Amino acid sequence: MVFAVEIIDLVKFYGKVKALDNLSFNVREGEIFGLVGPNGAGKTTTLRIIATLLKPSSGTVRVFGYDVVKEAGEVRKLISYLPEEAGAYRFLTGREYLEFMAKIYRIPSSVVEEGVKISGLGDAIDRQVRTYSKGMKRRLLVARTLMVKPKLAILDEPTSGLDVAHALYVRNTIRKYAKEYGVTVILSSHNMLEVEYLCDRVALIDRGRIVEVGTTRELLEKYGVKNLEEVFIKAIGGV
Amino acid sequence: MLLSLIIAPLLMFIIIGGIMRFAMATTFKEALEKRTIYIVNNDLGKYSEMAIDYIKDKGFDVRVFENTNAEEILSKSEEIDVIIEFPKGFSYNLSNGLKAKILTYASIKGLSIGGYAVFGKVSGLISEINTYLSRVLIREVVGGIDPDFILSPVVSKSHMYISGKEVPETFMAMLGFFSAGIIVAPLVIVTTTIGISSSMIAVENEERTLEVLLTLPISRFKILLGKLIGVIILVLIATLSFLVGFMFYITAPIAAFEELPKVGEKSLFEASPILTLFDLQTIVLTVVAVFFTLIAVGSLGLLLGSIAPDVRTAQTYIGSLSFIIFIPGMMLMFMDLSKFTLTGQVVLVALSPFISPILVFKALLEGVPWIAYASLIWTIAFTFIMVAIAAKFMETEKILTLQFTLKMKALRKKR
Repeated sequence: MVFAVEIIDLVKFYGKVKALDNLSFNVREGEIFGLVGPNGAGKTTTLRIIATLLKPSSGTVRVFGYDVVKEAGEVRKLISYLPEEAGAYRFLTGREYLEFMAKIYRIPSSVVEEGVKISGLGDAIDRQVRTYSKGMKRRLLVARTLMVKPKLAILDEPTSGLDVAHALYVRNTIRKYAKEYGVTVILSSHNMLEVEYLCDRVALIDRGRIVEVGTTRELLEKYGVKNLEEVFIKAIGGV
Repeated sequence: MLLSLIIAPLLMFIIIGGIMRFAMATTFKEALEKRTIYIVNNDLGKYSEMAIDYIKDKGFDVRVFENTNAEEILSKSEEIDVIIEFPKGFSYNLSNGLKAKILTYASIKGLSIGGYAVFGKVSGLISEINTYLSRVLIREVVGGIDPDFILSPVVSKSHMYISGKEVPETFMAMLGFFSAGIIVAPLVIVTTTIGISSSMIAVENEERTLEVLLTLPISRFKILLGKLIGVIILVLIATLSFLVGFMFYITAPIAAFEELPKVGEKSLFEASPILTLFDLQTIVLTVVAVFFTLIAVGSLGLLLGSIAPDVRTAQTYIGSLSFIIFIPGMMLMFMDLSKFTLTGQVVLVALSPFISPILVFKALLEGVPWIAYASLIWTIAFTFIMVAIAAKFMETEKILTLQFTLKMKALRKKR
């Protein structure tokens, strides 16, 4: 079976600091997979390695069977990555930014209209990005990531900087795209509620290691608690 | 960026040049058009009268004061700015074979070029009086001989060659401006290129667009190439804008002189056939040098930009590099290549990826072709090395992690 993401014994050093310590997990095609953990746990590093930005110190990472180091070019054709702190080109309008991205992905310009719809920016889509608030920029970037209908969407804290209403809107959009277009999603989040709501399966990560993997229901049952926060606390052995 | 690179230099030079041209033309014109000459004649002899008649014949309106103090008149009058005085004994001296004095009193009203222009006009007039009286005295003393023959028995005719091609004598007057332009323009192009290219990557860091860019389905080499082509196009437009502005600026004084009423028979600054000096080989090799230098320094700029967290930091890195470009550049402006020792010439060739257009051009013009060829070969090799390093760097994760590594190293050093 070919996994959307296959990670085997992944280790990553930054100088002498071990950021990832023999990390292993799989993401199945079509599922929404959540990486949950505190700051510095290794979520972003894992996503950056999957997105071909960083190279593993050792171990293997494959996306739909393609090795992220040896076949990075092939991997990039399948993915769409949303970094936690991302920006868009200031002097382009929102629409021009989406059109630019559509050209790079060689997809029809009609898709841009879909991007405009996902963003929910309305008339503001024709304003320059530099006039956008943080939340508007984030919605544009989410739209950019999803409109290309990648095989794998890598979303690092997708609702970061969004207010409650817009965060809900973005969550619904991610869910809709994953189900309607068969987009596999791997996302990271601090927000346990978000993960419970969105993800089919969850991996709890702490200090570069996977602590638990499973569906929310499985994890709740295993630890006999009511929510993922409590699962996490129990799994890492208390705060 | 458009404003600072293209419009600003053009406007800056045109405005400064225009102001200079207008101010100079107005001041000189006003000074030269004042046709009233004030004279204090305390001599009242034959030769001072002849000199005054000579000035009147030149079309000037002459006001003469007799037996008075020139300084006093000058200090009391608002209108008079220059007075010529023929002192007592002027004619006596000339009649007895002794040198005679003409005194000039000038009141400079402001520290502008216009003040000097008035004084210059009177000095020119006194020099003409000197020649006129020489002719008179020669006729009186020698007689029968053309005074011009005695005054200047030798006629000089110069032939000036650059690269074996004769250029008009008037070219000398342009040479200073010309060499400054030839050196300054490429230096500006090179520093601008490094500046723009470093900003192009630094701005991706600053705006947090780099990570997305690097995960797009487009090869890193194409990203590098796209950035380089963008830099080169922008730099070429900026260069053109700079050159247009710069040419306007350096020709402003010349244009101001040309607008003045002609005093002599011909203008000093005739259009010189400068372009005919350069053969096809010089032009082609210089263009090749410009092209490769732009790519080399563009790649270097992209590398520097990628280790800077923002545009301002990138510009700081560039600032510390500029001495490598400006020191040899300035030396080349003032010295011929033949004046350098062999070691000096080799050092220039070694630095030539940054100054290749100037070096190739100068070397071919000054007849030291080995320097031109060596510079070109090294520049092309350097370009390939820089592009390869930049491409390799883009492929690795260092483009994202180097800043962090450098920051950590700096912190450790502080501790």
